[in-house]
Amino acid sequence: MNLTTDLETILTASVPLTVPLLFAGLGEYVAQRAGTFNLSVEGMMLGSAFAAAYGATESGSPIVGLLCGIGAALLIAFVHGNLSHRLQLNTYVVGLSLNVLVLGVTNYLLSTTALDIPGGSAWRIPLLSDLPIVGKAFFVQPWVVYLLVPLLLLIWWVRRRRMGLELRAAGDDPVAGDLTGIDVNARRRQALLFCGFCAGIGGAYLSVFQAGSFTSGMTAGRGYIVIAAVIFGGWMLRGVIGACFVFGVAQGLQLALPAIGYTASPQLLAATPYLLALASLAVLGARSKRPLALGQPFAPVR
Amino acid sequence: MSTEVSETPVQEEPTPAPPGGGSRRGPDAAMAGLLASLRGSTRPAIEQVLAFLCFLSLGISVGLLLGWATGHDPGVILGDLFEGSIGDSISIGYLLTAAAPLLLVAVGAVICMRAGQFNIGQEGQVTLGAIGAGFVVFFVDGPGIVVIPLAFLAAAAAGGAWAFLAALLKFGRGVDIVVSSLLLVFLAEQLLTGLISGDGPLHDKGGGTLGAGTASQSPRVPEKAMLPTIDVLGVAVPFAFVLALVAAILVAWFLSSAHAGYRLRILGQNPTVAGTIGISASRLGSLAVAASGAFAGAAGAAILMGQSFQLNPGVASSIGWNGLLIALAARTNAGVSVLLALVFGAMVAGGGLLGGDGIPVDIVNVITAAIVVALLCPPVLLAAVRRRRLRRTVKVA
Repeated sequence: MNLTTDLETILTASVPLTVPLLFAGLGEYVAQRAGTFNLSVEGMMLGSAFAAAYGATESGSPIVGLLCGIGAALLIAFVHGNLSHRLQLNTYVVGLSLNVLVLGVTNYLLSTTALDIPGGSAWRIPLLSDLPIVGKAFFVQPWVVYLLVPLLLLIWWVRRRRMGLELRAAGDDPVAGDLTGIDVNARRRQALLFCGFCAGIGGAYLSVFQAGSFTSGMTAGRGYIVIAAVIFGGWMLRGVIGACFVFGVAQGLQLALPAIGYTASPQLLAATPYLLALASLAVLGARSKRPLALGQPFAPVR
Repeated sequence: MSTEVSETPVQEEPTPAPPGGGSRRGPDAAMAGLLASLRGSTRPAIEQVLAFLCFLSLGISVGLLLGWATGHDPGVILGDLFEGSIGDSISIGYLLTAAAPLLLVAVGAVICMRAGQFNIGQEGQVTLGAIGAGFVVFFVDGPGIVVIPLAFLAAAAAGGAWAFLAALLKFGRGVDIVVSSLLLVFLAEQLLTGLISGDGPLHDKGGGTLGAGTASQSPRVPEKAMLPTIDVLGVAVPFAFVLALVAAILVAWFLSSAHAGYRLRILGQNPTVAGTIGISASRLGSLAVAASGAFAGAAGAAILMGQSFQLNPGVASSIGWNGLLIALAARTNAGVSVLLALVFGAMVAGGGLLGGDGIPVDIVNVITAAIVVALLCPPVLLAAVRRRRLRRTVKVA
């Protein structure tokens, strides 16, 4: 068979599946570095996907949909942040119950509303989109995909500022951070809000820009894949990005392999993220770069 | 002392070091703080009961509020929920059927959390239990009296083994159980889908029900392997509920009175002391985690043979998550878990009537999730008030 067309098929199937993972993955990376093991990223994506679909239906504009999605995800992040970093409720419990709550609310609202999402067209980046193999996959996409670039630049820039240092301090050593005058819980809440913002774009992309519809539980565990990506990426920015691509390709292969005449167990491919994350945890053990205070509540005692 | 401040905001006792000799900090250590705070505030005082009822109704009203906001009468919703769960003897049967697997999961979660091990992968262990029971139900030929106990044993073994994997990673490689048990949930889902689709051994190859041969599902459970019911005062009490209730009573007794249960609680409350008096964290901790998985597995068997009668990709249907949340909202107390499992069961059973009035059933999930969040709040709010008061005193001084 023709290798270049096969590669192109795989890439065009994989990139749209990688994009939501990347958006949410960037957010989850920031939240985890600041010390929140954010399980509610699944709920953020799902809530955003529904709100975006609803907003786009009502206004007829994908941009309004995107904003609604971001707003819904920010709301979930706000609730999570205040419950776990103001009232000190355990973050795992809050995350799990928020996920159940959001699944219930979206299913409920879905059966009481009719959705009709306006379609959008893909942006064709001149010159780059004519490249062989990668051109069609990477450079002919809905415009929202290219928000990844400013988002990445923002994270890369913030990491080198005082803010980035403070966020990492909140995740690695909240006591020392608190002693130097950092408001640890405020930093953690801000990191969660940023995660909500990113996951919101990811969720809106899923429903409005990719599928053009909203179905019950449409994130289908993508939030948990994102968590696996942060773990497999070793809590490093480039690692997380790489992991999102690997997991996106694993999903894409489920679609692309039958098309180019191969068979592989779809279940095995779907299990890849979790297997890889578990394996990397087991191999690295205690030597991983996990933020030292990950998942621990912090109550300043003054 | 300085490192301990971050771990335990609420509790009065000294911070327990995480068991297993792993790092002193990280997700599992955080859970130790949570569990200590949950235990610290469980006293059978009248205020506790009042706060419980108060926040329970707060959770329910959040759900009703959503219904009201979308144009449904809260009175009708509440009426349906009562009617469908305790309206007549058949409804009570539905309630108990729905409550049984939830209670089994919650009881298991109580065991491992009392031992200070935060296993949150019950959803996956339920799935494995359903798989284990499925292998017995579809491959062992015999009378019900043989097949049913065997299925429960296989389910418990499968669920326990799946949870034990997480314990192995914890005590062998220092991976936090919170993380590994969560990841194992999604592996379990894919394992189940693989087994019941295509060439999988549990796939329905035809002669079964709708979609036979193509859809990812198992054959129907044969009549003889369906769980029997026991007639009590005209109510058909499902066998699984009796089993779950007995398990809850036994576990409550075990934790409060048995020697091994006492050692388990020491491990959970203060691993340092436990180590000093010769309790092996890795041995007892792994056992507790495996036991919790076994209970979740048994819940999987109860679902397969008492509710769904068929394996399909979503057979665990959030019962693992909800059971875990019940145990947490019940502050790891087996008795309160029974109560909450009944409340959750009532929601599921009552939800059946909502559809007839044009109200989407999913409002039930909203209500249960709101109840959990509401029930977690009282001790935390109390601690927040206490902290604020403390800060004010310091300022005055």
